[in-house]
Amino acid sequence: MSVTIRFEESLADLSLPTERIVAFCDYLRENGIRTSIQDASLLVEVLGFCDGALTSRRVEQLWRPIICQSVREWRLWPRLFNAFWFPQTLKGSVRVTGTTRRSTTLQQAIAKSKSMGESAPGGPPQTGDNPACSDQENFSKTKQKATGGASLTDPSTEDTETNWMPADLALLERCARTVRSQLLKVPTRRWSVSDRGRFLNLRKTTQSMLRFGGDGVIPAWQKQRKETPNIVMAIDVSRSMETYAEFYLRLARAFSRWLPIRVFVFHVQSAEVTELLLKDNPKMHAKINTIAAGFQGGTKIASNLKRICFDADGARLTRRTRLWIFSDGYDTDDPTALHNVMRRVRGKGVTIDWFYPNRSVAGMSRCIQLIKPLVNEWHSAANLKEIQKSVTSLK
Amino acid sequence: MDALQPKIKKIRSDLFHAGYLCDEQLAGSVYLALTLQRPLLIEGDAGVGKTELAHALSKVTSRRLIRLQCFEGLDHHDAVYEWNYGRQLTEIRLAESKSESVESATIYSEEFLIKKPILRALQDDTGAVLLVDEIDRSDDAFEAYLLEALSEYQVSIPELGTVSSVVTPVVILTSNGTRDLSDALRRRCLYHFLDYPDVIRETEILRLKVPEADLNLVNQAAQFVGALRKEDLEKRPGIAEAIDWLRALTLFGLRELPDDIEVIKQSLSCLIKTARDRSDVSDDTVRRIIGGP
Repeated sequence: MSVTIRFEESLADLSLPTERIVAFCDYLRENGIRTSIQDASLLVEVLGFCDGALTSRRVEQLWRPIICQSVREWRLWPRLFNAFWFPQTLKGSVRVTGTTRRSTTLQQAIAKSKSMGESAPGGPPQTGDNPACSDQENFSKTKQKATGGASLTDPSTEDTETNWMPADLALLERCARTVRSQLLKVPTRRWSVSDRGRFLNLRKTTQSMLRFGGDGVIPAWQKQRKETPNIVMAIDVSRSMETYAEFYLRLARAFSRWLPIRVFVFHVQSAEVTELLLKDNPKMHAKINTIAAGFQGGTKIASNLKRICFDADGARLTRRTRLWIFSDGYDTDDPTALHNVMRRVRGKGVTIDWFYPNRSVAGMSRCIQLIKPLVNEWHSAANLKEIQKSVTSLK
Repeated sequence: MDALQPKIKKIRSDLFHAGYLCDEQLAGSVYLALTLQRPLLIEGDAGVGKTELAHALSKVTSRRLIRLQCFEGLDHHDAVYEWNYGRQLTEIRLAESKSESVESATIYSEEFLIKKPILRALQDDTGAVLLVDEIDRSDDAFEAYLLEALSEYQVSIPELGTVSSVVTPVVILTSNGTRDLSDALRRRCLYHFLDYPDVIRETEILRLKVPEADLNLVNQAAQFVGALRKEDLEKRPGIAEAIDWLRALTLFGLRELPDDIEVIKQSLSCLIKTARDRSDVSDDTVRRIIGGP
């Protein structure tokens, strides 16, 4: 209640109405930045500094430390701020009043965008990633959706929205539970008090002596603490993985509900989708499906893995990290680049598991051949059955 | 019109005189932290000046700097308080020798309390700057314990009760991003990401920190370090490394970067800190960066 009062009091003489700030917070939430009522009230409070005589640039600077809570959000902030408050400054933006044309669904928009891309000269490449060893004949015979890489068969139905609902996730969640039960906990350098421990906790033992004036002792035991590994999933959503990416994203969603996991998607660029996956919102999942729509080939596995693993807003690699890569391994980066990245990742003590979608394409590219010794285990993951089989060996 | 400009300018100028060069965004974050009395969480790579900011703030605000260095296994006994068990036992023995009884209230009083950084910061009469350094190295449990101290500026000691702050301390938390901090902690803090500076700002920082260096050398050093950061390095050199390197070059008596790359390579240990980077930065790389043949 006190927050509401503060809103009304402090906004009485402000040029920006409360509703706009609340709408701005909503807009931030839509874009994956969590904002609370307290944050909104702080934004209003900041506007009250110097009786509101602040430039927009100053407001942007002052709001940023309040709203942002991570590097990702910090970097995203200027774009979101300008997009909301100064949409007219955005390149290519058009302000339209009233409905001038029939609205299209997201899926229709994707289909349209793809058909335009295919017909336009200089558009996105129509072929998938180039395998180092030629197998073009095989590809041309079996081409169904995308023309290269793993997208030769469809592992699931075409239904894109309903599959994201909790009821449909049961099978995948069973896999996640299996993995959770068999993941070995990693011992840390920390201690926890336990009656079954084998080491004496000197501080607590001394403390217990106080009860008996120093005469009696109740030994306090401790044992080494063990923690569940952190999992980082990197999913290739390039054109060559078109038919599998969506299935893998659903799998990632199921896993993210049961395990400490961070999910990244990549093709020519990478992005984290962990928080999006956790939301039970059909519209949000339609958005995620657009990620897997396979707009482009030219996958850059090495540079994206490097970004995912070593950038400030990427995954934090420790020896407790398990890196699961879902990709067919067709990389347009230099073949040695992936080897270098994987060597660095292994240098951090990370366990790497590679899930490849199709037996016929696995191991064909040169970069995959180079990194074979660096990957702990290779798993076939063309469909749910294979995934269920593969996860039993994850430790 | 920006009515806040003079205040932000003053913070920048004060920090500059304390030996810290900051941009408008950071000055704004500091202003907010001081005005709203909220902890400021600074994230960034090692060597970009996170800890240094706390030192400079301590000078600017004339407050004592109290530093809590976090590490794996840090608990509230190291960070907040600990009972002086030895003294308590001695007190009990002394009382026994005089055939007296000891009340628990006596041995669990402030006299037997060893105050650690957080408690000292809260009880500082003149206010303090509390630097919780490398919070990402501590455990989740300690992070949870910090929540009360950071949001309410108070700590609970079961035997004594709640100890509240006398003067609200300025709290700076730093993180290198080796692990994700909890949302609860982040929500209680203002956030600032400190990135590597651009060449112009780095030149200014180097001039401020190494005034004895030749201006030409400073410019070239800033450009060299900026270019080196773009290389595929395991550990990119921070500002601290750049300052060390410039000092080393000045000690060599150089007034500008020499053409002879051997001289540069001799001093590169100031910038390059891992064996892999050492082998990756070849003569050709150095030559390319300094724009040589």
